[in-house]
Amino acid sequence: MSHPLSSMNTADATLNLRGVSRSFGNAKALDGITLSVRDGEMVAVLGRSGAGKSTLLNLINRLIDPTEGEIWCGERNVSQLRGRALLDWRRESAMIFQRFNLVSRLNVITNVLTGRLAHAPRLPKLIGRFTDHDRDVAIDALEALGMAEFALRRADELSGGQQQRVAIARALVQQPRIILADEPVASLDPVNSRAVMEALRHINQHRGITVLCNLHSVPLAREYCERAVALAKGKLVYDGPVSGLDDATLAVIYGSTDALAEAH
Amino acid sequence: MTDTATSDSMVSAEPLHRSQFRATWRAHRWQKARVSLTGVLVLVALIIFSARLGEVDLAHLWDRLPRLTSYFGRMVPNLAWETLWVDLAKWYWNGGKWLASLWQTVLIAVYATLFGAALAYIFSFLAARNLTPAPWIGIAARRTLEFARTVPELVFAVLFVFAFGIGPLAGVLAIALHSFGALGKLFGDVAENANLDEVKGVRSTGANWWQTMVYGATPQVLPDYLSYGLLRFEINVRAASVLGFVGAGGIGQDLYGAIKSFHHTDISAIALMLIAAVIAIDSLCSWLRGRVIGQEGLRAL
Ligand SMILES: Nc1ncnc2c1ncn2[C@@H]1O[C@H](COP(=O)(O)OP(=O)(O)OP(=O)(O)O)[C@@H](O)[C@H]1O
Ligand SMILES: [Mg+2]
Repeated sequence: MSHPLSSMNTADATLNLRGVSRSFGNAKALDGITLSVRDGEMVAVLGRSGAGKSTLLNLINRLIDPTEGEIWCGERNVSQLRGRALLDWRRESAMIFQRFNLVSRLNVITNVLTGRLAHAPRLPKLIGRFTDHDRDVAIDALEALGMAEFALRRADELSGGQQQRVAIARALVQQPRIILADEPVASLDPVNSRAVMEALRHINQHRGITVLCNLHSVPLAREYCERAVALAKGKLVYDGPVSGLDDATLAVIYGSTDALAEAH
Repeated sequence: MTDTATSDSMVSAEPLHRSQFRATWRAHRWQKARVSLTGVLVLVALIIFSARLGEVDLAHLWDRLPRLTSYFGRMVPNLAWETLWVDLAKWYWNGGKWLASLWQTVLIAVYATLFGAALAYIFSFLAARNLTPAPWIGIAARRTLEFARTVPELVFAVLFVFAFGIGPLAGVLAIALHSFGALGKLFGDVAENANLDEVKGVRSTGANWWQTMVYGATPQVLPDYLSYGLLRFEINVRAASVLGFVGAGGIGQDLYGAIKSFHHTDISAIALMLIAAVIAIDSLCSWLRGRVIGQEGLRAL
């Protein structure tokens, strides 16, 4: 039997964005993004505030729909998925958020268990019944992140760093192929930031899960990722190794030296 | 930058934007005052007009007031200190039956509140603009709730007594339907204020719409829903005692019987029981509500 938390899919899972755009009213948040992410990569997504980083991740998870273009995962046209298939895709592309987005009045273990809502059997989960197996998987994930002892605490009683680790556990129990992390360390102090980035790297290397990570900090990108893509005003302005992020490139990404200093 | 520069160089002179705004402000105030004044005048006119239309005659009211007091006078039982227990027993000659009816009234209110609140719980998420699965469903849900709370319980009760016959079932259905509308609206407003980040977190896992509501929205809204539900229960106890007048079961039916057959002391006996019960239930509910809110209040500190 495979590891309960490892990705259970073996088919090709290359993520392909083909000319993806998204408008809000008249404003184009994303403009013709074409991007390919291979299975098992860990990619940093850079760009200044409002560049479209969150929009990109929300599109991939299909929390929002593209106005143009297509998103593919292997042989699947993700942008066309409906109903059950769409919910399955959301399960496969787990999200982590800057403000953790845990349900504050639920305890830690129930928050993690919400990552099992898209797994069978689904009917009992409509009224709050999870299986023993679900609970095993959830407590394993919490243990892996050093959070098992907090299982019965209310989510809003934890520190930011602890909440983010719970959020990662929730993502893990979804058994995703991809983790989409939207500025996962932007609300954390340096020590907690490292812990969270280490956890993401560990998941990427040991479980083979692809990680797309929006980051504000270029040094963090350099340290934890091999590849970076960068957005500016909704357009893809860089796609290459982090070593290619020289001053000239960063000036293009961040527009001005002020914003550049902020990113360092 | 420019702001500080201007105010530095013109320390004594009044900045232009201030005087401009003052003029705008005065115009704004005058506009509001005019609207309020017009409103008051229209209201007074409407009151006078409707009094005419409804043939409200204060003199007539004054003439007939003694009738009301003599009616109350006849409701007072004969109680003497020496024969207090016998007199009380005579006054409450049918006490057992009335107590059973009172209990039925409370049960009508309990069931009606439960059914109404359960349905309102589901509809509140359908109706909340930020949570509804689709805009047209939101509109349909809000219209349904509007209908259910606009039609008074009494109208529903008359209809249901006609359809299902005299008895408590009609009362339960009538009050449940009206509560559904009233609570659905209140619940929906609470749901519209839910923190969408938490909802989004659950939705992103692949949870379906209902799961997202159960796990993402419910924990946030539950204390408010409980509090409103208890408040509604208090209201429903009162509604349930009145609906007996149209045959919808409970103590109201006994009260109506007593009034119709001029058993004046029965009226006062039943009314006193009813008032005592309502006060007891109100106190119990406000204590419970205090606990529900109090706990959350402490958490917020
Ligand atoms: N729901 C929305 N409605 C309207 N406009 C939106 C919405 N979401 C995003 N936008 C706009 O799209 C653009 C990109 O937003 P996005 O949140 O993707 O930026 P970001 O790169 O994540 O920025 P940040 O670093 O501040 O999180 C912004 O101009 C934003 O105002
Ligand atoms: Mg963002």
